[in-house]
Amino acid sequence: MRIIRANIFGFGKWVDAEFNFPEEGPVVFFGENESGKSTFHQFLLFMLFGMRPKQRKFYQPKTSGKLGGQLFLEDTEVGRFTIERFDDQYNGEARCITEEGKIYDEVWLQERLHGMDENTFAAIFSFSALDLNAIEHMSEAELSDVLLSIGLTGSNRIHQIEKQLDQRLGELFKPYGKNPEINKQLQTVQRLADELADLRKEEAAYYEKTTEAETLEERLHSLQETQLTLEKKSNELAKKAGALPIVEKYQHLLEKRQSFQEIYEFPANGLERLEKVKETLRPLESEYNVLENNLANYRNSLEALEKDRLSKEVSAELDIKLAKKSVYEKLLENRQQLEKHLEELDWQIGKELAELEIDLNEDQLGDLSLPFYIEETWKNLREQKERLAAEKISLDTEKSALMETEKYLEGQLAEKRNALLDEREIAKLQQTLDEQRELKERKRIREAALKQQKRFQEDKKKKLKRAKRFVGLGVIFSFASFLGGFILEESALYGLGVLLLLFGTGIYAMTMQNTKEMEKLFEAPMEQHEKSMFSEDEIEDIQQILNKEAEKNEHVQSLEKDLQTQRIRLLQWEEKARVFTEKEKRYVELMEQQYELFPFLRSIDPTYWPDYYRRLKELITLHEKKANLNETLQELGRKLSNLEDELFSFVDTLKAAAVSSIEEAFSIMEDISEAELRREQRKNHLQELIEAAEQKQLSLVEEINVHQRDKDELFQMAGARTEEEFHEIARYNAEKKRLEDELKMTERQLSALFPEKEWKTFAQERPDAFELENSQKETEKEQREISRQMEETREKLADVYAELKRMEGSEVYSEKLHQLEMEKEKLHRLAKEWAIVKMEKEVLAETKLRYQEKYLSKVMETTTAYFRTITGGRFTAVYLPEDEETFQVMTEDGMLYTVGELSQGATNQLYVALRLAISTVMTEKSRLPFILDDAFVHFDEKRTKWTMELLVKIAKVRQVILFTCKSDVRKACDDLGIAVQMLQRGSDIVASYEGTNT
Amino acid sequence: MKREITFIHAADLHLDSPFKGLSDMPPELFGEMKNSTFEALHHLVDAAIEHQVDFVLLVGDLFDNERQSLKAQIRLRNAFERLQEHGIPVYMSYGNHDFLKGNVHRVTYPDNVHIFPDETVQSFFYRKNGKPMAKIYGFSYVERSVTENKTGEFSIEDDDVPFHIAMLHGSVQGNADHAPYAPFTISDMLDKNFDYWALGHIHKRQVLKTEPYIVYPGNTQGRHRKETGEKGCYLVQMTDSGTDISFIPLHAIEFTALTVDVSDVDDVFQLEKELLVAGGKLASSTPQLLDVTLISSHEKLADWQTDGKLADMIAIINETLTDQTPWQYIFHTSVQVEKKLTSAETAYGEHFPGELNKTFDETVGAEHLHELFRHRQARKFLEVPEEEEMMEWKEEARRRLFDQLLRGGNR
Repeated sequence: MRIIRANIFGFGKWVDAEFNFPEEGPVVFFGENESGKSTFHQFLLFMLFGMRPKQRKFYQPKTSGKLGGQLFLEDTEVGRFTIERFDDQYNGEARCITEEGKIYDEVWLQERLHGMDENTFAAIFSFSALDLNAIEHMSEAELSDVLLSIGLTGSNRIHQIEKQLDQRLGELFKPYGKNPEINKQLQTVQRLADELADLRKEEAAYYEKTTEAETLEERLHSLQETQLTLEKKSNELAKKAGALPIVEKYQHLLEKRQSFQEIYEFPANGLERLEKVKETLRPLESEYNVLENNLANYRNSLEALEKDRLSKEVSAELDIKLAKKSVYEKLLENRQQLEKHLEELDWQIGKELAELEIDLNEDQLGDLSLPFYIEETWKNLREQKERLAAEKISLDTEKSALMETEKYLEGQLAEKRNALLDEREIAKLQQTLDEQRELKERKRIREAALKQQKRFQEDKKKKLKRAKRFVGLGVIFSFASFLGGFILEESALYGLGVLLLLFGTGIYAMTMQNTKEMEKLFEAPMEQHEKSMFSEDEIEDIQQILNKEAEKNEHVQSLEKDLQTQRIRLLQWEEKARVFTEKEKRYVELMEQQYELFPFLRSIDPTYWPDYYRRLKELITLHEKKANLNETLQELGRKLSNLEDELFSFVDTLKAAAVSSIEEAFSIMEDISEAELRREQRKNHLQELIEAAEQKQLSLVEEINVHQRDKDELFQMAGARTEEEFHEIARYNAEKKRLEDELKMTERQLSALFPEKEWKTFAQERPDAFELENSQKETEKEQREISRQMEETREKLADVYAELKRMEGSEVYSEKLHQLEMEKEKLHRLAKEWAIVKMEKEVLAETKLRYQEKYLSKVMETTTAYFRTITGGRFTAVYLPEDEETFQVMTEDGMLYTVGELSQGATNQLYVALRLAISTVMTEKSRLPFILDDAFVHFDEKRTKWTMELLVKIAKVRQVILFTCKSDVRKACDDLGIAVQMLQRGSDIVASYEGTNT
Repeated sequence: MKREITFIHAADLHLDSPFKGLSDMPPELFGEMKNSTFEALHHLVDAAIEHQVDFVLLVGDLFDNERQSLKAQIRLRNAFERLQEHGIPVYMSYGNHDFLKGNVHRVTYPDNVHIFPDETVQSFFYRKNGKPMAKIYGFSYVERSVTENKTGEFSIEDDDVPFHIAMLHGSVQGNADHAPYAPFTISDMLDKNFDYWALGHIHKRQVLKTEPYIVYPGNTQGRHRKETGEKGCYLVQMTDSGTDISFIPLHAIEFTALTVDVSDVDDVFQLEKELLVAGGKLASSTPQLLDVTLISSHEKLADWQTDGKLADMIAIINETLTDQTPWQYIFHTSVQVEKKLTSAETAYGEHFPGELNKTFDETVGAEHLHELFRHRQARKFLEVPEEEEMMEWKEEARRRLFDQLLRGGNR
């Protein structure tokens, strides 16, 4: 990168200044002290890297408000561009404008500067006399170190870091230390590990304890077994002692059994069987006896019964007579019914007669005869009477209606006649009416004539007008014709004119004539008749009066006609009345005939005669019925008395005492009959009982025989003749069996206690009770001993188990284990920390080494070349310090010197050469301008010149900007043909070679 | 009759195992943590009883090390006694952690426990209703390691027994991640025609094959941040027609990794909200130990980590998290900040940072650590970290060194 031009708008002393940076050679600015060299230098740095506001304030020009400017640059990558930076714009941030006009910010600029900041830049790319001053006061070693680290401005920091890392490592761990963290932690861990090992040993005791527990368990087990054996033995002895009485009994039984050697046959369950047979026989025999007694009783009863019975004949007669009882009762009932019937008839006849209310009794009724035709006659008479009555009513009604109508009509006629007008008056009214009508007609004609006249007058006016016009026109045209004729000299036209004139006048005259005639016509005199004229209404009234009068006349005439008709009707009615009187006379004659035949009819209205006929007929029938009933009743009475006689005589034969009534007779007969029947039944019953008892007896005898045979068989089987013998044999056998059973039971008892062989020998041995007791005591003692031992073992075992339990429950080991792991974890973390720091340190050291190896040789080569140039070839080589040593240089003549041995000037030269070389090598890529500010203060003219020569060389590869106040430099520049720009304050060019910037 | 068996397959109980990375935990939580392997065992027994299994297979590493604490053994015995009460037999073998020669206590287990006595493959019958229903094959580690392939020793006996199950504590041959214990190949196993290969040793649950099932049930309780997620056992149901397996979680406390992007966080105090929200989303029925990774594009995060603010903040957040039921606890925090090449790196010239990175890349790390890791006393307690961890350390060193250098450059 190369600066082309700087444009200062305002910065410190500089206001509106412009500086160009030539492309070739070092760019040299010469100026005395206070000439604004440093300010210009600062301006460049300000443009490239910016400044903090406070710093900027310091450079605010006193004569101008502006602070800032432009810097024109050329970059290998992006080409030319301009940096603009102003105090009051973008907060002092840079704006970069490329040739294409693109605008970028500070970040872009940073990229161009390869991320360099001001300090770094100052450290690498610029140095001044101040740096050299510092060197003078440094010790040899320090100098070497500083020289070495120039390439790495951060080297101080690296050094610092290395120190810090070392310190941290020391804090963390020292192989033989005690207090560093890791060492301490190691001790902790070790301690815990040891403790854990101890605990583990303790836990190992768990195994021993388990073994002990096992041993004790085994011992306890064997003791338990011993105990069991003893217990068995003790039980055995106790058993034997207990079995002793049984054994003795067993032997006794054996002896007893010897006496039962005989063997007798005996039926199985013989005794029971015999008893059973006997038991069966006993009830059978007693039942037989009871039956025998009963039979005797039955037979006695039957005999007594036979004595009391009736003879056969009497018994049959009794039955017949008893059968008549129902006949008798029936007859009695019939008589009662007939009597009742008769009574009812009597009452009915009496009642009916009373109801008829006529002069007739029951006896007369028997004589009364009513032939069949009488009924018809009575019916006709009734009808005749009714007809006559009806006719009479009709005649009366008709007569009164006729009389009334006649009277009415006469009244009406008289009234109407009175209402009629006088005839003369009517004639007068008629005349008036005719006159008025004529008047009216005339008036109508006159009005029509007036109208005609009026219309004619109007017409006349019109016609006159028209006639006048024709005259006018005729004059005009005739005049025109005359004129025409005159002008044209046409005679014919004169003629025409005359004609036209004549024509016009003619018409007028005609018209006038016409009108005059018409006027005459109308002017005939009009008759004016003004006789009294009635109004229309008046005429109408007169007409109405006349009409009404005509109507009334008509009415009167019709009434007269009606009255005539009515009088004829009255005459007709009188004829009818005469015929009716004849009929009535004939009817009365017929009635008298009937009264003579049936006198009781007089008291009865003929209207009811047909009804009486019917009821009388019925009464006659009832009377005949009554006579018949009386006869039947008498017949019944006779039959009853016959029957009674017959019965009484029969009862007398049966019984000595007399009977009072027929009922009593029947009752006695019935009692006798019943007693006989009961005796018969009893007899039959007894005969049945006897038969059944005899049957039962037979079957019992058979059964008894069967059982008797069974009994005999039992005796035979036992070889016994009697029942006594049979019982004797049975007793013997039972005793023998009881003995054998007891023996068996005893054997079973023993078998239950001991195995067979054992008890048999035991029984033969005949044991001693005392001996057994001794053995028992001894065994008990042994048992007690074993029990004690077991208790002891159990206690021990319990202790061991408790201990085991405690160990099992203990978490101490586990706790310790976790604690150890935790501390190990801490150790591990510390180790990690240490490892990281250690790696940092080692890698940093190695990098430094590698870095030096890789680049320092290059640096040394360049340094040698530069050093040779600026010493004018006095020194030919520069060597890197080895180990504790410092730099060494070799002279032309091959002499080696250390830095300390060199003159101040040479040292400075070496420093400059080294600085330049390092910067060149280390920043091959970035190639930023190299700015030197009076770096060669201590150089003499010759050296200055050599140095400048070197700068010319370097400037070929990168821009070198040199600020100086030394005339030597200026001179050298002149010699080398380098353009020097003078820095002026205001208008003066300050040229001073003296003094240093302090 | 339907031929069917149901069993639980578990391994690597590591009872009473210590836990890594939890030394700063509050004591009461740590107490819970210490008890968690036992709690998981308790859950195992519960599951067996609940599912009324025919038997339980425990394939090695029941204890964390050969110096088994008596407590661990007693607790195991108690668990076995509970199973015995429910008539459930146990078939167990010892693995590389609890190999037989290491056992000093010799606690006697109840009769329902069948232990494979030595390194020879042997077998037990499982009888159901008096009939042999399954045959279970296996072996125990007598020494700390078994280096030969044991698959060859397994072979089916008694063809008329319906089911044959092999128990093997070991790892797949050529698996570089784990020390090769009883190495096997899946093809060897397939040749053997067993119905089920019950494996142990690998703590991550995995089904290597389904026909037949070759299964690692994983361990029953996570013990450090690498053992994340649910831990438990498999419930296996075998019938003539096939085998079904289902996982049953048993862990008492779960290790869970949680990554949170906190690029938007400007203030260290805002982390609390972010982490509580993220933690809330994990919601589980058991307590959780969170391994938190914070990601940010912001360098502030790295600053907070360096100046200890982050650690303070995590402590505050943990106070809230541990108050919950079930509790959560952040036991490990790591930070990832997107690295930007800052201007200051050039302060060391154009070449130094590159050179530093290169040196780091070429460094393994371990070569610098002999001083401590081979120290007479320290080596007893410190294991040289595995490659991955070493890498982690190295990266931390790199991060720190750059951080210091660059901060220096800026100051």
